[in-house]
Amino acid sequence: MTPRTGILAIVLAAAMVYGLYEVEHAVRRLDRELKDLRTHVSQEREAIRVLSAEWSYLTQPARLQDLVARHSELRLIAPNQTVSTAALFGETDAIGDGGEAVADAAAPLPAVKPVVQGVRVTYVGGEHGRDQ
Amino acid sequence: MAVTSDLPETATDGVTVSHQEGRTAIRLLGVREEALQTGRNRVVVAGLIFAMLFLALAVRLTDLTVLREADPNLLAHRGAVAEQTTRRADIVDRNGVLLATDLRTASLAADPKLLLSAESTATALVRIFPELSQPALLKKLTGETRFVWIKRHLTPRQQHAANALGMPGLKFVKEWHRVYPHGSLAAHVVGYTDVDGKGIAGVEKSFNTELAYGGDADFPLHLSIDVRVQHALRDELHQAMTRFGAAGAAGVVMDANSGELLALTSLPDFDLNHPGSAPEASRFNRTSLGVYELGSVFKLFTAAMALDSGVVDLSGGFDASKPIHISRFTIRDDHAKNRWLSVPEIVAYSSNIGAAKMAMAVGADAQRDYLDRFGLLRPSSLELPEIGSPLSPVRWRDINVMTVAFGHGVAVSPLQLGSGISALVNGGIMVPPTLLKRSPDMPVVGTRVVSRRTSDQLRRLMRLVVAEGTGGKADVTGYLVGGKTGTAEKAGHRGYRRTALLSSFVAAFPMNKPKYVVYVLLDEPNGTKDTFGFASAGWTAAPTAGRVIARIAPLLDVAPADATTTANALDISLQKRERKSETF
Repeated sequence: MTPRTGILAIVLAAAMVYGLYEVEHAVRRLDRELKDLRTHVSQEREAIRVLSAEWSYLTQPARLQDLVARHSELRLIAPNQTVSTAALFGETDAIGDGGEAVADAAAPLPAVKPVVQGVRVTYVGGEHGRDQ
Repeated sequence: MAVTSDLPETATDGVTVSHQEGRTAIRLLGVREEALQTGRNRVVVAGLIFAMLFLALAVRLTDLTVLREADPNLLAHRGAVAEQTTRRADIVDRNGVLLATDLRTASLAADPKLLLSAESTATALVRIFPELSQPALLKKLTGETRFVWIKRHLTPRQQHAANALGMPGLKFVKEWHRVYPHGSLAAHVVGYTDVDGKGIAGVEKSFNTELAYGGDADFPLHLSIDVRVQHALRDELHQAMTRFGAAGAAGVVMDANSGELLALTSLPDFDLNHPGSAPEASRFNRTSLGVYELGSVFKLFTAAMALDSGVVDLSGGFDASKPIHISRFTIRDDHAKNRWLSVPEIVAYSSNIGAAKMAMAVGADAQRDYLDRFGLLRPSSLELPEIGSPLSPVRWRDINVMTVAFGHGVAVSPLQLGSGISALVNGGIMVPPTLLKRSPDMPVVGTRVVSRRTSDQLRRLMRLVVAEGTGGKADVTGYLVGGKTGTAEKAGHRGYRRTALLSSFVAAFPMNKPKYVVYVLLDEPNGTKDTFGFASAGWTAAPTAGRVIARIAPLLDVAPADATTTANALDISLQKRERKSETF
């Protein structure tokens, strides 16, 4: 063994030891990180559980009804406030077994009949742009 | 000797020695050479072995690290699975709204052996938890066991206070705690668990195994209940109860075609988070466990069996001019017309005499058979532990046939009534009611109980009751409500009590293609000034059902129909013989 190969072997060994140390260190760090992340994930999960329970609690229909009654003018939807999109754009809408066309009937539909002009729906008293 | 040239350095010394000392030296050199050769061979062999081992290691390492690079996500998940399974699964409504969930809370426990002073600990703890009694706590803390619960499921504030005591021997145990965010909204459906998380009422009990710890907690139990519909029903029933001073109320909203219950309410109810503090009467489920003689709503069943078995058709009728006297009873009409009545009139005016005669025409055996098919003589198969068994006469005599025709003598739960009526309006198929959400592609399995033609006729009759009969106050423009009133006198110690009523209304909508059945029942309502003192179903339950429908129809995507065109398709005349205008 020449001195040169000996030195090379020693250097190589040292480099490998250092490399191994580095890798092991990195693995340990990753392991710690993984453990932290797991703890974090389970904490977040618990937080999500608490928040979704709270959301469900805060959106109780009774509470919402009370808030709406106190802070807004919203009332129950009347049948004549409902109209199908098909009827809005001039198509007829068959309802029920009888298959009677009812979209043009006067009684439960909005009093003002919309007129379709190109892509704009014109109501008496205002215009509403329609998305293409 | 040529040996010298390829000898290693150490050997070269030996050769030098050999030149100086002649034969001995050469022999010596030979021995030395031999030993060196053996040593070298051994080194080579050992080196080869080590080289192979290292090569194997290198190959394995390369294989593990370079060739088979593991998915870091997979690695991260390994070992993380076990933690979730100790929790009880959630219960959600049909739209995923959380009805019951498990949250982690701290519970306070103590090891009496480690306490410095049981007296001072007890005194300090009672200050934090005023609901605990000091003597009882002291007894616990001086016991022989090494573990006693002091208080389960603390609030964060209580936990902080107990922790701040800094007393040895006290410890916190993290536990899952069942929480019901909607409180009393669907109390009788959801049910509740005991402190150890075991279901002891409602769905919590009937699906305890599926929900329990160890099951798959990541998949919630989907109920068929819709909290919005549940609230609308509960709210309206609550208002009606208050308005008419009723003792209780019950209600169901059912999908007539799939059997799914969208709402089930029994009032008074209780907060699921504190079931222990609720009185027994509140925890009683009137809708599925209570059985009642529900009165005239049964006339729909009577009409259905008469039309289905062919003993009459819609143009036929019965003489209702005189009350029927049978054994010691007299059957008379509340809205007496004192004349011949057609089948539509009998239903629309709710004639007891007509219904009794119609049932007699059907016969006792057929009546019993039909009622059984409508699911009224057997307990409902609904997934609740609280299911009442219906009461029916042991011997089916003429008097029973007549009274059952208008809903007396057979006691059923409001739930059974709702599901029976569903079968009458959905085309004649009896579908078992369910509290579980059906997936849309799952076929609905039911049994035919009446013909489609009978079902069509029943839809018209029910619409007629609302359009021209006793159920007028249930009408909601656009939703084509059909239904039937039922006012029953509650049975007392001696016969029926005239003042204690069960007023109910069963409705279906839209009648041109029924989707939902609504049943509301008020227990002992009182008349008010607005109802001119009447407490009967037409004045109390019918408007309540109408209001429920007006609120839930837009939520349930029921398109309002045009009253005139579609109603014409459903229209039948009252088939009066007299051309006299009737008023109600």
